[in-house]
Amino acid sequence: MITNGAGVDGRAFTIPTSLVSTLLGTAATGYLGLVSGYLTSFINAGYLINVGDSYSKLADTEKWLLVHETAHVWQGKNSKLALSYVFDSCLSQCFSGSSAYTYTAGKAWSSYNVEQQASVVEDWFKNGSSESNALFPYIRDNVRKGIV
Amino acid sequence: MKNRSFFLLPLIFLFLVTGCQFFGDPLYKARVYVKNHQGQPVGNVKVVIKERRKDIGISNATQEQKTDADGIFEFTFIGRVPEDCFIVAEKDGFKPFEKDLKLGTDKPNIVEVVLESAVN
Repeated sequence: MITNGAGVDGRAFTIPTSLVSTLLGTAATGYLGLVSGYLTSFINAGYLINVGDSYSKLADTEKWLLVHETAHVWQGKNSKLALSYVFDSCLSQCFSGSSAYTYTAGKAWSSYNVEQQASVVEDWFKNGSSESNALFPYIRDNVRKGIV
Repeated sequence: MKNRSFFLLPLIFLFLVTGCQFFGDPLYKARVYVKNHQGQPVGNVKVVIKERRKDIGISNATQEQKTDADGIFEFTFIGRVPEDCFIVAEKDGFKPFEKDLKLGTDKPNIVEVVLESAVN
């Protein structure tokens, strides 16, 4: 599901729906909701993509934003725990700030944090999604094979 | 011990939801104003911001777009702004325009493009 919701300063973010349902369930039913939410985080059914003001431009000038956020969905779907990319993203930005997004192509895919991986996919898309692009090996060998 | 775990899980989930709000992907903007040499806005100009990268060569740092009739277009960047980049603007009847940019994350980025007529 995609919404025009946003975080602080209009930040875009993608979260597993289990994270939302857990908190709502905990508020409503206490520990039972928490436990069920915790369990569903392993078999998370959906994701909530929040893009703020860019919502109206997603189909046109800011498709790449949707690509970046969808890369986070891919990370959640292909991780054992759907929430792990949320942890990784929060920690990367806590410790690295905006450099959490900066990467140098050529390193092992697994050495990139979740924001760097999403930036690789985004940059590949911006440059025409070509197989001759220097970033294509990551798409072929990792993204398409579901290797996080 | 049991009490600790009772509170630990809600705290972890709360941390994640709050963290998403504060550490979600920051979006940075660069507003481009395209004018002719008389200072009038020029619409329908193809504008591209490109990034020079040592690892992947020259890369489209962001989307390629055309300005509206008011000569304005706003670029959005996710997470970071390109460090070494330049803007290219093209429209029939005008000389091609190219200029290096210094974009920042701590201020509004305003870029002015002045197109000169190809007929002199």
